Amino acid sequence: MRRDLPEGYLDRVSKTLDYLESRLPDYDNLLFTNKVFVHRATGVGTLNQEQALEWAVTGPNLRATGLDFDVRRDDPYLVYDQIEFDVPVEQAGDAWARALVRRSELKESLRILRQVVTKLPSVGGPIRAPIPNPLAWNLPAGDVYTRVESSKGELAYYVVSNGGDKPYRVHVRGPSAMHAVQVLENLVTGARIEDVAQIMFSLDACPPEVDR
Amino acid sequence: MSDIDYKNRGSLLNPLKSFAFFGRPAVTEAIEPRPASANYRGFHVNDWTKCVGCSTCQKVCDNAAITMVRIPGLVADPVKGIRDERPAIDYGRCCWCGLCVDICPTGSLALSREYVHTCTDDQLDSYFVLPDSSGMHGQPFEKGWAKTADADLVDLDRQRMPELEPEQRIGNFAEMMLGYDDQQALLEASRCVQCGMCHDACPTHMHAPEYIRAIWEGRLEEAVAWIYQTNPFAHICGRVCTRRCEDACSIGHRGEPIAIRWLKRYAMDAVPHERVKQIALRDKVDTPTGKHVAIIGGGPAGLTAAFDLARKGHAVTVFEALSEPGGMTRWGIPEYRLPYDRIDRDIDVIRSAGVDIRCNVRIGQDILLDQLRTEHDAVLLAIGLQQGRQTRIPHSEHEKVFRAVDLLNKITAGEPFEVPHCAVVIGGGNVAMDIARSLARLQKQQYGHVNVVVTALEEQQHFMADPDEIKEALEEGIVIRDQCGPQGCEIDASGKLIGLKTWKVLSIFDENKRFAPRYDEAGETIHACDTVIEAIGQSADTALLGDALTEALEWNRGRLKIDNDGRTSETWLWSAGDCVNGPDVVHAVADGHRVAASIDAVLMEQGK
Repeated sequence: MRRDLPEGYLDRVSKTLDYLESRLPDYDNLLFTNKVFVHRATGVGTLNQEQALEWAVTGPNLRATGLDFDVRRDDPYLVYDQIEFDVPVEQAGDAWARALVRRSELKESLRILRQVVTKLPSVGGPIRAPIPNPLAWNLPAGDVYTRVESSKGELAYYVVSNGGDKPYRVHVRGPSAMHAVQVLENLVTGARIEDVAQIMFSLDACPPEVDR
Repeated sequence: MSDIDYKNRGSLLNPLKSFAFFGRPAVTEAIEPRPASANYRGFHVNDWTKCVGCSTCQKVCDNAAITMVRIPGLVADPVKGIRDERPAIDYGRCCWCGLCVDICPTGSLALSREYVHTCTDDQLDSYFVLPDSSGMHGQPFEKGWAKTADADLVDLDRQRMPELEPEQRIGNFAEMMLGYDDQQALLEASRCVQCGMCHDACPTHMHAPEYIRAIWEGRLEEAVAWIYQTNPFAHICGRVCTRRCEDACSIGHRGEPIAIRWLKRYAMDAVPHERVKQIALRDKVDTPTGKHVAIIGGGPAGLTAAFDLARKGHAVTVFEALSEPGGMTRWGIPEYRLPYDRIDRDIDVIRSAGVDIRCNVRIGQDILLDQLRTEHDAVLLAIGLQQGRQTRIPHSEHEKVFRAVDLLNKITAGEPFEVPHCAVVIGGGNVAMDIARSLARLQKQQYGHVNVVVTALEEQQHFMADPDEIKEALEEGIVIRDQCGPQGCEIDASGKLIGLKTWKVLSIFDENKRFAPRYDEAGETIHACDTVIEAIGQSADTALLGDALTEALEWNRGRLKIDNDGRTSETWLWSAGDCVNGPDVVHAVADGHRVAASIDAVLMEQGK
C-alpha cells in the first residue's frame, strides 16, 4: 500500500453499498423484468462458446456462453481466495444472457465489497513495506503475464525484462479490444441494423480501452 | 436483495413501477470547486530553498514529464551539492503518480490540492510549468501528496562498516575499519540515486555514480576502471579521502550520505592487484615521446602527474627525499587509518606504468635543481608541506616540544624515540588527531595507559578534524580541551618541561574575519605534561630552489605563484599539490592531472 485509507473511508463505502443495493429493484423494474427489454435482448447477438474462445472473449461475455471461468476464483490474486462469492453463468450467449450475468454480478460485487470492509485489518503496523531505491532496481531477465478479472473481462499485463531497472516491453491486454473489434465485427455481420446498438452495448466494450 | 426470476419473462407494466421518480427533485451539485482530499495528487509545488537541482525526480519519472531547467540568477555551489537547475513539469505527460515526490532526496517537492487548469488554444505553453512554492496559479492551495516517513523511496540509513572496538585497537596500529563485505557493499551501492553531485564536488571529478552503479551491478572490474580514469591513488582515497563527494551527496540532506569512500575501498580491495594493474594501464601508449620529465616529490601530486605523463609516453623520473614514496599519505597518516601495503599497491601500479622513482635523493643536496633543469625537458615541483609550523610561544624551543609531522615521520620510519608519558597536543585538525591517536597507541603498548590531551582554539564542534576522528579519539581515551589558546610552555627550575599554559579563547577571528584570537586571562589552565606537540599546520620547505631561483620566481603570500595549469613564472618549472594548494590528498591528485596535462601539451608542442 502506498498510503493508509482516508479517515472515515470504510463507513462511506458501506453507505454507498447500501445505497447501491437499494437501487437494485429500480434497475430490475426498468430493465431486467421489463418485458420490452427482455424481448429485445433475447436471441440478439448470439455467441456460442466455441466462437467466444476463438475470438478471445473473456469476462461476463464469456460466462454468458456457459463457460464457468473467473480469474478471481480460478487463478486468485490479492485476497480473493479468502472471500466467498459465486460466479454467475448463463448458457444462451445472447444479449439477454450477457445482461443477466452482469445483473447477477452486481449482487456478487456488493457481497465481495461487504466482506472486504469487514475483513480489512485495522492499522497496527507500517502501511508500506520498504521499497528498494527504484533507480537501482536490477530485475532478472524474463517475462511475466499477470491478469485480473476486471468488470469487462480479463485485464492483463505482459511484461518482458532483459535485465536492468526498466522493462523491455509492456503489453496491456484489455478486454475491450477483442470485444469491440473482432467480436462485434463478427456479430453484426448479417444482423438487423436496429440490433447493432443492442449488440454493442451488450458486449460492454469501452472505446478508450480498445487502444492499448 | 432481489433476485430475478428469469423464467419470468417480465411484464410490460414493470417499468411503470418506477414512476415514483417523476415526483423526486432533481439532484443538483454545488458549482463551487470541491476541496481536494488531504492526500490529493494535484499540481506540483517545489520549495526552491530546499531543492538542490539534483534531478532525481527527472530520473524516476517514467513518463519523462520532468525537464531540468537552468535558472539564471540561481547560484550553483558544487561543493555544497547545489545546482542552478530546477525541475519543470510537462502536464501533457505527467500522470500525477507522485513518484517524484516520494523519491525527492531533499523533500522539497510535493503535490498540492490544486487540480484545475484551463487555457485557450494560444496558451498551450501553460501546461509546461516550473513549479515553485507559490503553486500553479499563485493561489494558496494546501499541500496534498507530500513526503511522509513511511512513503520515502530514499534509503536514509548507511550500511555500517565493521570496525575494531576501542579496546581492540588502542594497543596496536592494526587497521581500524574492517571493510564492507559483498552484501553490505551491494546494499550501500543500491542507495545511490545517481544524481552526480559527488562527481561535481570532487576535486578530481571522480566518476562516483558510475563506479557505484558498477558495484551495484556486480561488475567490480568496471568499477576499478572508472576509478582509475581520474584517480591512481585509489586505495589511498578509498581509505583516507576527505570525501567532498559525501558532503555534497543529495541523500545527505535528510539522511546519511552514500559511503562513497568505503565503496571505492571495497572495489579496490575486491579486485586482485594484478588485474588492477592491467586495467589501470589499458590506455598507456607504447611509443616513447623522447621527452624527459623530472618530478620532485613522490607524494600524491607528483606521482599522479608521473602516472599521467608516463602513460602518454614520456620518460618520467621521480626524486623522493625520503626512503619510500607516498608523501604525507605514508609519512603523515598513521597505519591504523591507511595500512602501508595499500600505499604500496597504488605506487606499484604507478611504477608499472614505467615511472622511475628514486628514493633517498634530496634535490638541492644530492642533485642540484639546475642539473635537473638541464637534463630534463620539464621539471615539476611537488614537494608538499613537510615542515611543521611552530607556535613560537615562550619556551617552545624546548627539546621536549615537537612538531607533529616530525613525530609521525619517526613512527612511520620505525625510528625509536622516547614516548612521552603525558603529552599535550596543540591543534584541532586531522594531523593533531593522527599524532594524538598514534601516541596513545604507543603509550598503551609501552606504559599500559593513555595520557594524551588535545587542546585547540575552536569549540569542539568546529574542529577542523573529521568528526569521526574526534569521536574515535575520545573512544580511545584521549582528552579534548577545546577553546584553549596556548600561551607558553611551563619549565621548572631544573629546565624540565612540566606543562602547557593556555587561556580560554573568547573569539578566534576579528570582525574582518582575520585570524586574531582574543583570550580571557582568567581562564588560565596549566595542562601538566612532559611533552608538547605542535600540530598547527605545515609549510613548504623551498630551500631547494636556491637563492637565485627564489628571487626569480613570482610568489603569492609565501606560496609559489602558478597559473591555472600549474606553471610557475619560469617556463620550465611547474608546481602542484599541497605546496601550492594546501593539504588534501584528493586535491593533490586533481592537481597532478592538471599539471600533467599542461606539461604534456607544452612538450608535445615543442616536439613538433
